[in-house]
Amino acid sequence: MIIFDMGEYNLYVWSSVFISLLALFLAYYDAVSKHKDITRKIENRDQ
Amino acid sequence: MNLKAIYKYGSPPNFYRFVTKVEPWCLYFGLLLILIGSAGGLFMAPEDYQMGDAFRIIYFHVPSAYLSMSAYATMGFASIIGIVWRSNVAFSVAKSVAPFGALMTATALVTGMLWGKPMWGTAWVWDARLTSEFILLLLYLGYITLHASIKEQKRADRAASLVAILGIINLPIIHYSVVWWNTLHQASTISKLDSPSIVGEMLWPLLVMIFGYMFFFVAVICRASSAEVLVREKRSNWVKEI
Repeated sequence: MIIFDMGEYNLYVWSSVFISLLALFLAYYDAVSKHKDITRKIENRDQ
Repeated sequence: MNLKAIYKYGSPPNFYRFVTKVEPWCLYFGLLLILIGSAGGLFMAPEDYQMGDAFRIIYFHVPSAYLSMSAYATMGFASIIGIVWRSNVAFSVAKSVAPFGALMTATALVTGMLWGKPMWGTAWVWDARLTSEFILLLLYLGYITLHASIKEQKRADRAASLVAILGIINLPIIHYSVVWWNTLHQASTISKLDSPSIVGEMLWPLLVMIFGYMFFFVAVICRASSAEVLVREKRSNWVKEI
């Protein structure tokens, strides 16, 4: 698709997009997993 | 500053209930803005007459760099509140911001290198902007390492907070580095909104991306700090009720 074609800068532009979105995903995933871990620990302890 | 608000949300149960309500709104709004900004920046903004399509890296590099500094300012401010008011909630926020800030700083550096390689002919130079941003990454890593290396929670909070507060001095150095010294890094693009050095068609996706990243940052910090508050308050009665 022509709109995805960044010419000679394809590698640089799409690598930047991928790395940035991956960083955002990892940041949120890490926060959610920390929250799940502690909630599970508290639930197990209370049971 | 409204001291009543600080006291109200300085209470762990109030803070926990507040951030768990705010988080989904900020997350979905942030993601929506990032989606619109990405589409605008990658597909709708015109090609730069000098840099060609490589300039589109700006839509990911600049928001990351903005957040790396905003996150550090948040961490420093929370550390000051934590030390002055001995607030567990403020220390939780500061601790939660550090990994996200480090990740954003690393992203800003890597996307900057990906932009620098085709434009400057080199991915890295030890100029003032790049070096001061690299020092910011070291400050984040120093905070995280110091906090993890001290077993006693209160001592860890206080020691790491001192690093966060001392490191605030690096923020104006990063911002003004392109003014104070001759750098390979270009000057600010949108430091003054009334006269930005970028045309409107290129500017709006950048502003949308910056706001999107900001809302996403708030969502992540809400989730991470609520987890940290639960870790610290797990023996409290209010935790059993949630």
